[in-house]
Amino acid sequence: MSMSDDPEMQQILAKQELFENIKRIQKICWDKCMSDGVDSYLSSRQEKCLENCADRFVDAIVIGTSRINQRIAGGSH
Amino acid sequence: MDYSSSSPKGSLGPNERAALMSNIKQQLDVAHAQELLQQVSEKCFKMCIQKPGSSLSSSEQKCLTYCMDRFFDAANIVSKAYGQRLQKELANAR
Repeated sequence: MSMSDDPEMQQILAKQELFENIKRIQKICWDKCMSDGVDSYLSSRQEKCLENCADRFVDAIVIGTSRINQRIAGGSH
Repeated sequence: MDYSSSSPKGSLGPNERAALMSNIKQQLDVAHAQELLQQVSEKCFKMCIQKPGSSLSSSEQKCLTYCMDRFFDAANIVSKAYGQRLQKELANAR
């Protein structure tokens, strides 16, 4: 069995991809939501903003993916 | 680390394979921690240090401490929201 068929390796690669995605979202959402600064706790506005931000980011990915797939399916013109 | 000591050239025995996997996982964990540290340092420096002085003021120090803690709070919220959304999307896809 080669490394690429190995389920354990698949798991490692999946974990890596998950980490990269979360890192990307964290970066963007921190900038968007924490512009009013930090304190000894996250405000409820900041918490809500972070949750919404992650959700909206996934929306963006989902729409982007479907648009790309449509273009590929429709051929190039 | 010799991964091929007791197996034919080009393939790994089960012990070597297990050792390799464990090593890979460990190195990835270390790499992840380093990446997170870089990210938090950058974000918190930007937020807390407006004009770099010849030393760290106490308000800068306080800001950095808060910022680092809040960064990990934020990371937890974002991971959780992302994970939940991912599960929802995967469930919809079936």
